[in-house]
Amino acid sequence: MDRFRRAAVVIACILAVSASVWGTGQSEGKTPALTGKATFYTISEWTGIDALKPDFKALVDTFKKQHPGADAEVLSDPFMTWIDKFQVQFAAGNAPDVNLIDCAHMPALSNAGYLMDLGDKLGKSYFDQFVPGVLAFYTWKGNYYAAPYTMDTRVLYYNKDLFRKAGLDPDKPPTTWAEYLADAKALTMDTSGDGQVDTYGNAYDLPIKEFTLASLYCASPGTMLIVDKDGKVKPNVNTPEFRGYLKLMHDLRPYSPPDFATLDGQGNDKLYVNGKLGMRINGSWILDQNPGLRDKPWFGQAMIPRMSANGPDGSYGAGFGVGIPATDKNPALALELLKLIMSPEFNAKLITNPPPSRPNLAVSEWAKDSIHAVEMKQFASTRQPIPGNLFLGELNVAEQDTVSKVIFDAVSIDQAVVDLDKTITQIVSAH
Amino acid sequence: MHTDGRTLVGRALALVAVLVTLAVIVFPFYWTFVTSIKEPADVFRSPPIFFPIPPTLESYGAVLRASPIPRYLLNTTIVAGSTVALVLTVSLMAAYGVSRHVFRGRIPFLLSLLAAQVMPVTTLIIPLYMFWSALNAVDGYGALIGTYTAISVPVGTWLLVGFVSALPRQIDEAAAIDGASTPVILTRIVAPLVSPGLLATGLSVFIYVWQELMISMTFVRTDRLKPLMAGVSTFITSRGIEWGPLTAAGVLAMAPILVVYMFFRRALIKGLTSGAVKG
Amino acid sequence: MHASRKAEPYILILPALLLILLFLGFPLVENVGISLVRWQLAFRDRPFVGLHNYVRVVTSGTFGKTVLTTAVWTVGGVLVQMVWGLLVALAVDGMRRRGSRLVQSLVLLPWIVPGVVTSVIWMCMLQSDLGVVGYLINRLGGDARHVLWFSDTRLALPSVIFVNSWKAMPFWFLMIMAGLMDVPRDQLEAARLDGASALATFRHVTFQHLKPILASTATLTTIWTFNGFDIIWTITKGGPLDATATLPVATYILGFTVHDYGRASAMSVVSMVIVGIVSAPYIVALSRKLRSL
Repeated sequence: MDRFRRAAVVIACILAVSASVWGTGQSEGKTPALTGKATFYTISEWTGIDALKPDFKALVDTFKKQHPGADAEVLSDPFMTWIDKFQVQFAAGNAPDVNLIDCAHMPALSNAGYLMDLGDKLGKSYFDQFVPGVLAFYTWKGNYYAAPYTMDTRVLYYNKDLFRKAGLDPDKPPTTWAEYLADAKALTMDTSGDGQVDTYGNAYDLPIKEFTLASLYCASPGTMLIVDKDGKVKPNVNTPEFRGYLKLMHDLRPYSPPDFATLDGQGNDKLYVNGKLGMRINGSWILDQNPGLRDKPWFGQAMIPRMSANGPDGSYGAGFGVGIPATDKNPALALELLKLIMSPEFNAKLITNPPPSRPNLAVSEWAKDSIHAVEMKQFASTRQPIPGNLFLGELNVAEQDTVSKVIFDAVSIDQAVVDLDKTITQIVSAH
Repeated sequence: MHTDGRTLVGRALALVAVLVTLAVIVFPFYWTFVTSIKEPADVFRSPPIFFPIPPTLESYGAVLRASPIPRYLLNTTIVAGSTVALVLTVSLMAAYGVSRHVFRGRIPFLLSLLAAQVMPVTTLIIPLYMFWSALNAVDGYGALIGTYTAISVPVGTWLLVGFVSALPRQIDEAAAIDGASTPVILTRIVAPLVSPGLLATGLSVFIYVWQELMISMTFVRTDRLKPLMAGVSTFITSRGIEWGPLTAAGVLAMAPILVVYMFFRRALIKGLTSGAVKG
Repeated sequence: MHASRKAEPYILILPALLLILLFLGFPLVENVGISLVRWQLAFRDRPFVGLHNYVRVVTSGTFGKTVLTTAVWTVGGVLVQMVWGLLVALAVDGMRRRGSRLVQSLVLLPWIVPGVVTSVIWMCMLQSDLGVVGYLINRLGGDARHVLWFSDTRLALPSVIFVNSWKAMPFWFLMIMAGLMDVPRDQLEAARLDGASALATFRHVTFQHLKPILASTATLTTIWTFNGFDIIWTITKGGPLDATATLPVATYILGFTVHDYGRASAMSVVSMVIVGIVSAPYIVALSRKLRSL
């Protein structure tokens, strides 16, 4: 009797459990609840900002509310550490669930198969909302391997007072390379009469990787690589655009502060903010970091000067995407966190440079603020001087070295172009 | 103290050399401290401000708001302390083995201690990261302690060999005759006698781990396990260096070590100079 | 009892040996392995390519310059550290006890400063227009306002050598102080009684007894300086125009910026071979001496 009763109880339990599981499955059509912890790896330049801390907390709280039983965690490192570490993590196979990824690394990581195909998982129509130029950074062979998270571009900031002092029209900032050079020269002045130059017209960034001034090259029809129809990559540096750019970089040297090694991006920004630099090409974080700047009467901004008066606009743009490792242990949960991070509610909040990478962010407060009007216009023509390819790291180094050598007269422009052509050929044929 | 054929001029020159050296050494400390109590806008004021009046704790505030410094301090203390304990144990054993016994492989082992120091950190990082992540040990004290111990044992052993060799053999031989086992000899007799060496080695390892940046930043991901140096490096940002908070973080990071150093400096100097590596 | 006595040394050195083999030997083998394949971040495959990476590294246009820069950085650095440490140690040696103790305590301070803070604070102080060092030099009558310590291709390497030596000198100072204690008093007395000058005493007595410790310290510091990376990377990142690009810096760039791990490992192995060759004389002398112990 006992045995039968026991058996009956067991069978009853089994029936009860399966009924509840089945029952819920069938009646509500829900997928099983997600559990585990999803991690988001970003940079501490953002997580460390006081104003953004509540938003990061809100991200985690909202995620937990949406997915009871699951948790989320935000990890971060300074940019300098992050940029090396995230590669190592992918290579080792233990990258966090959602990763901030530098757009320059996208081709390499996508090609090597380290990233999950998001178009496949989120549906390709999810990506229709992004500005095509931005989406291009995160596309590889027709698939989307990361979602465009941030976008930035550069504009020309200038100082109207210094323009006046230099005898230039403060409402006519330079619109071409020739004008930029001429204005830089005029703006390099001795304003205190002590025989020493006090203000400069141009600034290079540390350490002579002319990262921000690359915008000038982007404001030309030039592109340093050509991909032919067979997919072969060839150098394209023996062009009037690149040569003209090298000459411009070279000629700007006397009008730039000489101690570039210790004057980093922030140092140059400070020079501009303190009225010692007539023109500064940079991104709008200069406004975030210097709150009083936009109200200064001498503050002016303009589009990046083009190579020629009727040439195309352009600006150096970059950005980060968010992606998931292909071998992620909890892909479903990771995708949920990614979607939350990409939601308009959070996308604009967790970084210092809300991206108009899509129309519904273009109506954000940031986009509507008139101080960003020039930048909004510049977004349309944002690109990188070397199009995305698998050797971007090495090519960037080669290009920046070439520019540095020309600036320092270590090599003539003709020789530099020949050398770079050879180097690029060697690099792209190395695989 | 030596009295040799020094002239007055010679003495004066020596004094100048010492004073100039002291100035060059102490001034950066002073400047670090002073920069940490200046208003951020004053860091590069021209002419430079030598005595910020009034001083401000703004940079320190920024540091404490930006990162959980007390937590970092705990992490570094645990990792450094554990590493020291392990290194001293392993190194003393090895040093004793090398200096008291002649065995096959003795010389290759000694040479391997030297060879082990040749590897630069940049070469070690990726293979070790792969190793630890294969063991799922990344983001834990274990990976850091293991790595730091392995890096410090060669130097530690090398230093301690000098100290142990200086002890007359009769001492431990007498103890062995009395029936003491090797572990007892090591802990009760040898260790106390080479305590200057242990102190010097231990302190060197402690300072190394305390300051180490690359390995700890690469191996650790979550905030609650990061070391003190992480708090410092946060202020080297992609846009530039935040001098005020960075020097403040530097002062906070150095302070504990300075205190330890103050306490032990006599013993440390004595230890390092008394029986040290004489070649 | 006898059997375990024989095994004893092996047991004693076992933990150390295991640690070294596992955490230092294994990465070394890994590195050699990676140097023989083509492995770049952008491609998953790792085909065996033999010595191809080595050929590419050694025949690259900049390799010669990198080696030269490394040689200057290492030899120059060790010389500066040694001479500076020697001068201060000799000077302190002749001082009264209290003063000597104080100086010793202060001289060791750079050891405690984290490398990151060292680099940053010297960058701050050596900024050409706004740095305090330039200001002080100007006040003392010089004109350093436009000296570009880290931006001038001719000055950058000496400047970083100085910063590194600032941090490394205390070690030399300590080692030489230790060595000076072993210089036999009676010989010094004899020299003094003979009326020898300070210089002659140093040359014939002190220096002779310091030789072993100078040699051993030189070997250690050569290895450490050669491998030094943090200071250069924080201050100049190898610039300007590769003026401060030593082998460790170039290796790092190959690995983390160019993402070619095969070539980076090859360069690592080449660096280690170079260090091995440079320290070989000392190692040979050392093993001869150890045999006689």
